[in-house]
Amino acid sequence: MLEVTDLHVSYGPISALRGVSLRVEEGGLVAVVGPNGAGKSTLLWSIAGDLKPAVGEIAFAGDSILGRRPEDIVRLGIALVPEARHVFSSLTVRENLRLGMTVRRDRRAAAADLRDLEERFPVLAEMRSRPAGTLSGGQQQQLVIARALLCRPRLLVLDEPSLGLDPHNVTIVFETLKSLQAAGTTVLLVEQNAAQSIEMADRAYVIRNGLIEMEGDGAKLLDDERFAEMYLGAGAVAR
Amino acid sequence: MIQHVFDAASLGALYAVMALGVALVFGVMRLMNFAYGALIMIGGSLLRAPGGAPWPVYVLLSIFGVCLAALAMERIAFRPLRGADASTLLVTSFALVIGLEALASILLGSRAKSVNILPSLSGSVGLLGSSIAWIDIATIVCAVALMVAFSAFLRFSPLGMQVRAASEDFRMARLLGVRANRVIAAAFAASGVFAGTAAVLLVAQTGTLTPSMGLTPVLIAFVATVIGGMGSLYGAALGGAVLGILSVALPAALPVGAQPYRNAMIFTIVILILLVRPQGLVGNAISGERI
Amino acid sequence: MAARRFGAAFAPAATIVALGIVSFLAAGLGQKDTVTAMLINVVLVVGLWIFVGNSGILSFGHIAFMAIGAYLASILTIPVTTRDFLLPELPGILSGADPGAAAALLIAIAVTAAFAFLVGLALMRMSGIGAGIATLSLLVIVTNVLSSWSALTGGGGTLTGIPVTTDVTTAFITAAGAIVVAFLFRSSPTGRRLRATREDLVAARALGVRHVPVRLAAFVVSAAVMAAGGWLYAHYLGSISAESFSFQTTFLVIAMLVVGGSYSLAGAVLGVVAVTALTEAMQHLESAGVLGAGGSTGVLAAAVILVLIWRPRGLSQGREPRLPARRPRPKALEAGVADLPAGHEQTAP
Repeated sequence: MLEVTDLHVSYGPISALRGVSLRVEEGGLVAVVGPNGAGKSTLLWSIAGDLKPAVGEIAFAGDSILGRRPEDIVRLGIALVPEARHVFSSLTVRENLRLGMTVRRDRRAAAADLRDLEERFPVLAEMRSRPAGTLSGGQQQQLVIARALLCRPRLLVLDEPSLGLDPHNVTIVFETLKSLQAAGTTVLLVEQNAAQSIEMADRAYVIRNGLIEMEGDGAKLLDDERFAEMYLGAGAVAR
Repeated sequence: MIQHVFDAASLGALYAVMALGVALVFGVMRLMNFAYGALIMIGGSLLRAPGGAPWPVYVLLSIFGVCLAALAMERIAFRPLRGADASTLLVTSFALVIGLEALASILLGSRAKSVNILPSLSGSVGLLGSSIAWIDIATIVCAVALMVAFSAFLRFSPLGMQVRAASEDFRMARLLGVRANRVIAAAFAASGVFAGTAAVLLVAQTGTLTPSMGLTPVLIAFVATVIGGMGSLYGAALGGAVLGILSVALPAALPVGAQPYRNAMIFTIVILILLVRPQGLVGNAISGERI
Repeated sequence: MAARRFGAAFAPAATIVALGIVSFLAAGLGQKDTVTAMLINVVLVVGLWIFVGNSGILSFGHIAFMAIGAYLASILTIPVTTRDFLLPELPGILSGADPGAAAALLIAIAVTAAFAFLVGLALMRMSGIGAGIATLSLLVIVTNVLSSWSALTGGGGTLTGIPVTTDVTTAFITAAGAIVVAFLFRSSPTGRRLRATREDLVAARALGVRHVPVRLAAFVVSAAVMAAGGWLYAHYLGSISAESFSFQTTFLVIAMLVVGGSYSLAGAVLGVVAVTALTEAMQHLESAGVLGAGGSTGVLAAAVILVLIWRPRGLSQGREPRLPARRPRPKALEAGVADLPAGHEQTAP
């Protein structure tokens, strides 16, 4: 569904991505893991249309989306939930969600989706009129995922959704992602929390210094000795 | 004394309107638009359009015309420069105001012209034991009405919500499908309405029209926006109100010998405000909005 | 080591030589006034560059230092008899002093620098737009005081009778001096530390650079150069008034800097030459009747906008003239520049 080919992205003289390729199959869940500064966020921002790569190609459902504007890429079906949540703190929870409906043309269905999401994440209904900035980290994470879902994306892209959350909330996030995948949404996930995300992934990529170092089918990667040593730390025992 | 209060309130209201026009564009684009001064000048010029129509026509023509001018300005000068350095944008907007002012000089002559707009407002009314100028009351009423209407737009309309979101986090708004061009155009158009209103009120108060009439208001608007708190529309309005009140109150409180130095004093207060509260009067120190 | 020093000095030396050639050629062709004015602008723009180009903070107030330099130097060089007539209430030390043009320059520079130091102590902790507004306020305050303090500056702040000692040579020497000072500051450890704060304030501070002292140094040095520009200006026109130090002048100087390229010293000078050439051409068209009165300003403004659309970092694109490099630059660094996200991600230059 998403095909990234040989992506090169630089910030001035600094190369962030030096030839990255990956695929996301429809209905799959792909995890990209790697240390800080590896280029994970750059990759996602490029897919979302906010950064323009110098070299490379990004194709979604067969069509190139390279160079298209972010607001158009959302309308094609890709929704990015960036790192550090990015709620609109001065807007209420309800208004934040409403913004997710910007691209929807089907009012009734959108309103129904909103109700469903408020059911699934009851805290959002509870805090409906509160400014989003007053929510806790975990609640904000639920808000931004719900908000992205209101775009009815075919591909949901998340940048470190578990960052800064306590283990309980991390579980909620990952459970949500799994059920989304089960319901038919394709998920592309970038995480530092390697083990948990790779475990539930169909396919995983390891990125370091702007290049893909390893890739493999989720569970198999965890079994791989080389991976365990390189990424989980020397002395870690492969499963 | 009552008269002074109304004078101060009226000037404060006028400055608040001026400041809001600037703050709007800054909020969405992080651009301090000097060319706002040109918008005010255009608004004033349109009030002198030929034809003998009743005055509401001219007022509407002025506001509408400035709105269009603002949209044109965005499309022609600022869109090609989106994403450029802050100083490039600043110099461009300044070049715009100087250029448009020069154009106006050529087309309309560089001498000040008298404009008799809203003649019915030139008198005063007895109120609370003093004589209050009608124009002062009109200014306060218009400014407040405009601000209330705009507040409602921001709060209750979908486009208003998009503008608020884009002002806070432009990148994120785009990721949800908010169209950058539309929001920026909306901000410019609204800023045009504020500029047009400010122009009408300014001309009504001073009775004159000069090509450079926009420069001082835009400076005041900038200062007001910054001392009020960047990124906050309430702050901009408050900053304008404070400056207006200071401009009236300070000379009234100063001895005659110190009168010529009133600008120096006002701007010393501005610097003090920035030193003590760098985030502005209303600004949130934690929000990271770096001044 | 010596080779590198020489290489770095190439840029300012080349700039001075080029400026000299252009100036004396044009002066020889009868354009003395234009050239003198241009050279005065070079001093002002270079002075502004010392602060803006190195710290990345846009200051709208530097013309205030030009004003202080101009007024102080003028008060000291106006012949004593004229002085008594124009400024009867001048305090004793000033009313009788007759130090001569050069000494007056030095005094003006010293006093302005001291003033800049005091003011800078308060202002240099500010950045970005707050600094812009604060420096703008400084300009308003200084011009207001200068024009209203009639004991010091005469009614309305107008001073006449200033001896006209500025000619092309004096102006060129001062301009060359300004460029040398700017180069020395830029290559000094203070200058380098300051530029580090321009690129990334947080990183620089983490490395131990204290941004207030280095900014203050630039502020003071640039004020001194501006004062020299004021001295040149006053002794060129023979009379000054508060209007000469207005926002219009500020715009002109800033525009020249940005058009030339505010990241490079050579660029700053280039900006002055380019704008001067254009203005000259426009003035000719205006007096030939092709453009209406005020048309030259309009064309200048349009030209500035067009240049900035075409080259957002200025004509010089932030680069200095270089001797040809010994080795070819590695190709990998040239690979692709992604556009930074538009809008809020831009930091001040």
